[in-house]
Amino acid sequence: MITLQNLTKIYGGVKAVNDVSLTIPDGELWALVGTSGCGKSTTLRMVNRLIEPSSGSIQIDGVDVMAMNPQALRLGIGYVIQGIGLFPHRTIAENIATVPRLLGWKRGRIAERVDELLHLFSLAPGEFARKYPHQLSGGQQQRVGVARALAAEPPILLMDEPFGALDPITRARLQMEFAQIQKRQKITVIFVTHDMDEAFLLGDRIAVMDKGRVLQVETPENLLRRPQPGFVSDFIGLDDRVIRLLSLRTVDEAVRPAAPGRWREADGAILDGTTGKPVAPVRPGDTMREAASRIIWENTDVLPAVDAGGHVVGEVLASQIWAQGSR
Amino acid sequence: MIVGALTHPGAPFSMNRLLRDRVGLLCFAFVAIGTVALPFLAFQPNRILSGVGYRLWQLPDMWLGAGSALLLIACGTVSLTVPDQRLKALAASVGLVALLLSASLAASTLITPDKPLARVSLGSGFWIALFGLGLLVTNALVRLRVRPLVRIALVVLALAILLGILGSGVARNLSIMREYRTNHDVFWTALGWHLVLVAGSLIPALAIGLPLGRLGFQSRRVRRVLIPVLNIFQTTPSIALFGILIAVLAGLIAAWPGLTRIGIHGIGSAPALIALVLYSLLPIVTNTIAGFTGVDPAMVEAARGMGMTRRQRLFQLEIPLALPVILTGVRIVLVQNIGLAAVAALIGAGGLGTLVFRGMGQTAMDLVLLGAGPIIILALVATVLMDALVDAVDSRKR
Ligand SMILES: Nc1ncnc2c1ncn2[C@@H]1O[C@H](COP(=O)(O)OP(=O)(O)O)[C@@H](O)[C@H]1O
Ligand SMILES: [Mg+2]
Repeated sequence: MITLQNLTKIYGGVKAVNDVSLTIPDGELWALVGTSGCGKSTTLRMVNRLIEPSSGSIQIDGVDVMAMNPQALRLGIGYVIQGIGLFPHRTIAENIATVPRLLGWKRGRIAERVDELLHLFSLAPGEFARKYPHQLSGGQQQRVGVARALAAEPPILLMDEPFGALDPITRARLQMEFAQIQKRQKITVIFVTHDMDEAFLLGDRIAVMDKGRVLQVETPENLLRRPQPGFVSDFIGLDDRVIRLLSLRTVDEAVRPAAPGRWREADGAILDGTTGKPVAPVRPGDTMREAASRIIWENTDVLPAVDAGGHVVGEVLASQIWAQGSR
Repeated sequence: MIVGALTHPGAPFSMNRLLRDRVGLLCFAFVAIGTVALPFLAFQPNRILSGVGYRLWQLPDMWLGAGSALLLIACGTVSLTVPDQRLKALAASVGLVALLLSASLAASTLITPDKPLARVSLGSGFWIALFGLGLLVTNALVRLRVRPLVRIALVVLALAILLGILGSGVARNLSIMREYRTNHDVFWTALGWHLVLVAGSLIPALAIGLPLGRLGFQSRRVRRVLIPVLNIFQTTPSIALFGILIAVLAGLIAAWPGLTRIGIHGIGSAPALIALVLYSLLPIVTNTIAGFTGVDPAMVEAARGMGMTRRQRLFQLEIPLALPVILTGVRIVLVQNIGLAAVAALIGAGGLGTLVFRGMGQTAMDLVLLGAGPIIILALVATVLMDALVDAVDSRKR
């Protein structure tokens, strides 16, 4: 658990961070969002003491970080930045091994851990371990950046716009990969971003900041349904809120049984039982947003649903999707 | 075409490629002109009488002269026309050895026991051909991108061959080698002192310059003061700086006569070393600053966030990554001081400059050459070695 209490940082009389209090439970990912210059990075960097607060306190599991040795504190907290900051003169394996080495792990254990992380981040060890950072694409480099931060299995990870410099497709893939790893390993994450979509996708909670203050802290759904008037509403953009709400849920909960013969399977394709035309089904894990977009495109009011093996398990009604997006 | 037969079988001879190689053509022209058109050696009946120039083919020993000329041109032609850079370098290197040997042997045919006072010095043809062949070798080696260790080995090999030829005595009748024999004690002392001046100024310059450079990197205010001051030293002509230092030291010694007891005198090596150190500071400081500036701040920041201490960041990241640029500064200083140390002879600091200035005073060009030749060789060797070192420590994989 990370607790920020009345955290304030003053630069030349200006409060870059102003009286911020947050309590982040173990295993959750909290997104810190806001426009550029609102104090997100400053808040984040006070947690691992890269910046000393002007006032207020930070506790990790009840221990005041100001009482800890800064190096020891940082060795126990992963840190990922947009610039990645891989060491250009060290191989990928050596980069990932940085913190374990600083912690004095045995060689064998380090090698095992590096291998494990390379697998976890879909970087074949045989191909990548001995390469140098410049030989990797931006997306691969940032995978290594995250792997390096997770190397010593820190319970806490601080991320400052980690995927901000990547192209949309690579970013989406990394976001999904990271979300899975974070949930599976129950890492507590403070994630700074100015990208609302990213915050909604990854955040268990979203803290919206403006001019050094935290204005609202909410789950993505509640933030969309009950945003504070003013900055928060403007920043999250209410025009898209239905789409965003639909992105938060998967179709799985809306699947209901279909009448026998309503859908037919033929050579892996799904056919409409009445018209005989092929239709694209929804699959497990598809978001309601994807289903909605297909319903509109096909100008229909029902879609077949298949399981992971591609067999029809039921159908999804448009009305049920619409219900999710309404107030 | 005859030259066609000399080229690599895999890569057919191409007139176009040949014509595009402007540098190669120019070098070849130098070799050809030097061996055919210009006097290769100059014969003086004695030190006073003016000399007679001999082109290679005009030598009394027709076979030696014409043979040498043909061999040299053949080496130049092969080096120019083969496509393989390794063969180019090899052919030109053989040419260099042949050049030195033919000059030595030709000198011995001109000097006969009945003319004990006669001197044979190297003529313009020799020097031009030397220049052409030398360029052919370097050009080929540069394109080959030879690995650092191999480059060092090649330099050592070249020096060994040169010293072997000079030491074997074949070249004893060349006037420069005669000059060496009469002055050989002076020569080795001068060479020794020259190295002492260079090393003795480099070490304190590093001890002062590296920390200053780091400081200048960290603080813009330090940088603002430091760079202009060092620039002043750098732009002061060496003679002037030596003069000023003589005056300053003389003043200091007048105030504290005890200084002379620890070996500090107004003239000699003390002001020379001080001047060389001052000249070294700017390149070392600016390259140190540039080296550290080139290190990605995001990387250092990430390292700090991961828990690396200041010391770990400095020694594991910043210094290794800045080292190639810093060493480039050291290379500049080394080559610069090898040259400047020659001027230091004027204020009695010793070194190879002593021979050069004495030779100029006596209009004995061979003595000048005896001083200047090794200075050039030292500078060349330092350049190659330092460049190899820079590449070897370039841990930033590209
Ligand atoms: N070292 C510093 N000195 C002075 N002002 C700073 C410093 N670091 C950040 N600031 C200011 O504090 C504010 C918040 O910065 P930051 O936390 O980096 O914003 P964000 O990460 O949200 O874009 C900005 O107005 C910035 O100009
Ligand atoms: Mg920021």
